[in-house]
Amino acid sequence: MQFINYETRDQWILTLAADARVVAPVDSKEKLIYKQIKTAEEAVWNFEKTNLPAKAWYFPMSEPILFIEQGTQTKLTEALAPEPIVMFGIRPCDARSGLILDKLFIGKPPIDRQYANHRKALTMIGLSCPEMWETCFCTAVGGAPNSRDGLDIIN
Amino acid sequence: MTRMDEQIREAARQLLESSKVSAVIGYELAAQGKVRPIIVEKTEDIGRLVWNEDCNLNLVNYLHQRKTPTGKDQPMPKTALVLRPCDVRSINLLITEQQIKRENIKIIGLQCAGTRINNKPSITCSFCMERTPVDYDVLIESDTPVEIPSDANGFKDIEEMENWTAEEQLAFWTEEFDRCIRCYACRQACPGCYCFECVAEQVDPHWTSIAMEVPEKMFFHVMRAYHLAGRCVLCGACEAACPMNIPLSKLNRKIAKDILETFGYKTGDDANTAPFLACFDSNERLKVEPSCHF
Repeated sequence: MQFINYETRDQWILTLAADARVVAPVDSKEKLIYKQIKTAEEAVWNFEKTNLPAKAWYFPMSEPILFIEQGTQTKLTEALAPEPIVMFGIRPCDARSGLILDKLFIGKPPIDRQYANHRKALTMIGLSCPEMWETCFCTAVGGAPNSRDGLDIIN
Repeated sequence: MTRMDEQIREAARQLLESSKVSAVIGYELAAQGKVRPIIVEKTEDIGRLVWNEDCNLNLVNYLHQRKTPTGKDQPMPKTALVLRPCDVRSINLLITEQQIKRENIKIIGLQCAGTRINNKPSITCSFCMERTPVDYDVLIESDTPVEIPSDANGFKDIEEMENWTAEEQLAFWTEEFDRCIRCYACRQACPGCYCFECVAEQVDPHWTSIAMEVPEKMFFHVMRAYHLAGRCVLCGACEAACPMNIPLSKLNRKIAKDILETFGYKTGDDANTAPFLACFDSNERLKVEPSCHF
């Protein structure tokens, strides 16, 4: 197992942000939402749970899937595959919920190509939970505060 | 139990026991120290009624589900409501719009010292200049003093915003509406929003897409604000219901301010004045320059 400290994490985010989208919980008027960041200072690292799940970044509520060009011949172009995203600060429960969506969209054929592309472009870095909060029940559904399911890295 | 709770329960008991009403709509304590609306129909439930500064919704909204269905003749069941001064104005609004009849309503009016949203004084309350309802059947006296501060000005924050440039205003609202999740809780909490089919959900004509993008969200909120022009009573229920802390009432209060300054019209003053957009006077001359860009 390899470890990094906070300082190297911040440096790591700077390096990552240069050629990928780095997403982390950001405070927007006391509501925590996953947003793109450039430096570690923009994000919130000490929080309970975000107000919106990470899902919107790999299963957006609305996105272009097909471009239709009209002319003498109608031209159809598939939307480009999403750029790489690195998500920080994912709670283990949030990451496990992604696995349930996976079963639905890419579990067995026919595979949802758009969703598969989003998942392929995504790296999830978790944040294990130091304590149990008011609305927590992950252990009752097979999860754990330090569960690695659905996460690429956990800290 | 506070003295206000006692007064509310006493009023509710008298109304229910004398069969003057079939239900009392008020608040009860819920989990985690919160409050939630309750419809009391039996006298044994009267003890559940409470009032505190977290009771920030507009209970008039619950009258829409008790209204007589269109085309049927039976009268609306008589109902009593625990209402703040602002909420009482929406009773008057619904009477002028012929949605309800005053004789079917009993108002348990509150002397209101202001309510809170998420443990902070709500914006609408901190600018509110009205502490006693314009109309009531029973008046509940407040436990805390309800004086209006001498420097109170109903639209101070709006005046500040009017001095912003268009770019600053757009930047402010873009950040706010970016958070919107289009749950429509603002619309559901609003007693003035009672269309059977909302513009936001209408398919033919398709006014707006369901995309989760700022322009669509902005369209929805600005559209809602305009549909409430001259009808919003500034109760702040939309803001209380909003899960994303969006200061929605600022839009409504800007419009209310313009209407008050231009036409001297305030929504819900009484049950006889016609609705603002229905009282056109051909001798009326618009004195304002179209300078505002909100």
